[in-house]
Amino acid sequence: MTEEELKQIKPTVTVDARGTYCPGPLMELIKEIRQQPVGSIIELISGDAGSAKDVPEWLNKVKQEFLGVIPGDGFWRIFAKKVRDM
Amino acid sequence: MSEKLAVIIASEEYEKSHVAAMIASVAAVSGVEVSIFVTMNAVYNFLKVNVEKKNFDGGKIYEQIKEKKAAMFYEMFDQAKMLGGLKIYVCSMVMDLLKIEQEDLIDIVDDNLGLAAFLGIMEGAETITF
Repeated sequence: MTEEELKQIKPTVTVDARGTYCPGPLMELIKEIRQQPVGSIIELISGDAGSAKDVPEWLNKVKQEFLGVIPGDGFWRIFAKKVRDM
Repeated sequence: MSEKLAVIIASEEYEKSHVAAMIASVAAVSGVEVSIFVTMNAVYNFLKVNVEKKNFDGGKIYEQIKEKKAAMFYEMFDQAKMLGGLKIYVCSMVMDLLKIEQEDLIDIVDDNLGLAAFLGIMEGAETITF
């Protein structure tokens, strides 16, 4: 998705993981994605530069969908969609 | 990557337990079956008495972890156990040497194991040593 498209997204839930260190943001996302029903969109806000690369890698590994990332000022907004049960 | 990961922690250096916990927890939540073997001086990091007092042997990064209040290695292991498949075993030889009982170890420790048993777990697993 383009950044413009991502900005239009209304996430089901937003997880603000700023203030946690790697792999904290990824773990916060995992906790949330497990609880949400299939079809949910989860927005993860991370202050860790690694998350923008880490999260898509993990989503790919567990076969969930990575929608994209919007870089902010010192943080990243990462969008994921739960497409199957886990 | 192999679907089994074995991590051996032998050093008491705090940072080594920390990086082991980071790698192990991400692997565990990615569907990898993770087994941790705590042996030699690393056993001191898993003693209740040392964890309660944060009595660890660490360097510059450990100082930063404390200052920034980042998650400690045992908190990461605890979370990984809740979210994925991860088991922690302590070397029975070291427990015997130091006269340590299971209740002296923090609760995230599953069991104690001898080497033959851990070698069985390591079979076909990717292994990392700290």
